[in-house]
Amino acid sequence: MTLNCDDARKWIPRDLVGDLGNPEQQWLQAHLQDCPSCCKEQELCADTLQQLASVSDVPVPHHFFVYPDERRSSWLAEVLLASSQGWRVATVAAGLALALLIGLAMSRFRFRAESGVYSFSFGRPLPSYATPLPPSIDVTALKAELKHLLETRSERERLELMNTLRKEFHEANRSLNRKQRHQWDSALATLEARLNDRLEDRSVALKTGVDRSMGNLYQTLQLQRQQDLAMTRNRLDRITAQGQLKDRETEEILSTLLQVAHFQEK
Amino acid sequence: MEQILDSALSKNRSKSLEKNQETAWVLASQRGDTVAFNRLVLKWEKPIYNLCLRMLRDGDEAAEATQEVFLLAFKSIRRFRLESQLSTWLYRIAANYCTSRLRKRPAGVHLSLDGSEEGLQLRQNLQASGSHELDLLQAESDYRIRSAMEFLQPEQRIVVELKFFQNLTFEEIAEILETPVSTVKSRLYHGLESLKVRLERSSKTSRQRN
Repeated sequence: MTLNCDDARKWIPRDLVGDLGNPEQQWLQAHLQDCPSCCKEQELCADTLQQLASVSDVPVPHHFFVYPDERRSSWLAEVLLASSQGWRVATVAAGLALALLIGLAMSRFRFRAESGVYSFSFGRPLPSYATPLPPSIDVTALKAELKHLLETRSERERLELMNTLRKEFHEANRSLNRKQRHQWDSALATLEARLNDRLEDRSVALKTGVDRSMGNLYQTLQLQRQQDLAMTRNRLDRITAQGQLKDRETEEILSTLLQVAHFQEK
Repeated sequence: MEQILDSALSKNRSKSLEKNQETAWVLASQRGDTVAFNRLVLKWEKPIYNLCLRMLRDGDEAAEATQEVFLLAFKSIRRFRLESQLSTWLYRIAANYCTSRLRKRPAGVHLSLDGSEEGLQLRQNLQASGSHELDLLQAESDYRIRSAMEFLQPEQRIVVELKFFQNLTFEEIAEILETPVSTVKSRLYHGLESLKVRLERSSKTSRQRN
């Protein structure tokens, strides 16, 4: 195998450190015999390693002994380590019990910060504040919302009731004979017809009410329009009368002026 | 031949004795024996201090770091398991401490390598004290290497330190730094390349000055 200079230069430090296998070593040696620049590189590397190897250790400025006082960062740990196994277990158990007690005490401790007022209590529930309602509440919107909720609820309940009735009828149908079932069916049909009639009556009444309301609204609008028209007409008449009056005054002034001019000519 | 075998055996025996003694000191330290721990300090303070010195390049800071390393070791000796070597564990504490300290340093704080005040001062001091020429050269070489190492990234610097100054294997370094061996090698070769360039430049400057 022939080695190029780049690879040889990578292998030189590995060879000097003893990190190169036997065949690679041989290839490197073969390359170094023919390549003076790589030979120089090897010398430089060897020189660096020699310099590194020649560095001598300096003596310590003082001893670095450790004294027991330096180790006592935690007296509790020291005491624990010095004591026997039984004492250690007992201490740990006591510590855990204490932590549990503190935890329980903390869980009964109540704290509340509300509108700038801080309340503390231990074991008892905190007194409730009568919070004033905000000054502006839209009563109409609230009413409308409540009404809507009630309507939705009643509608839902009605549907649920109908479904329950249907289910019960269906269940009851199973245990009935043919005649009874016929009677049930007819009763149901009658009930349904009555319900439908009532619903129709209600819708008719609603429609009539809407028509009446629309008629009233129309009449009101008509009346208002007529009143507006009358007012406008009156105003126009007044303006016209004022105009006529002014015209007459102007004519009188003009005639007076004409008369004066006429006299002056004479 | 027998002499060689005898010396090898006695070396092995003394190593084993040393290891047993160290294990005994560790066990005693784990029981809270401060004297035993201080024996370990006495054994390892020089390599740890030199590691800190080469990493941090400041005598006071290195001393402070060494003290901190032994204090940390003393505090956590109970967690040390004898499965690994004590040296590996100590080097890991020192490496982590120095690397984190280096990272906390503001960026761009380097001493100039070529013709720096510190280098000239060192040279003048040695000359004034009438030191031997060889000592002078050695001191200057040490200084140049320490300065060149300062330009390495903390991760590269610690690998170079552990490999060339503490003479550890790649596997041991990987265990200390808790990184793969391939990463350790890559950091070492990049660090070496950088050192080579710096040292070459420094040699040229030194020659010109002389």
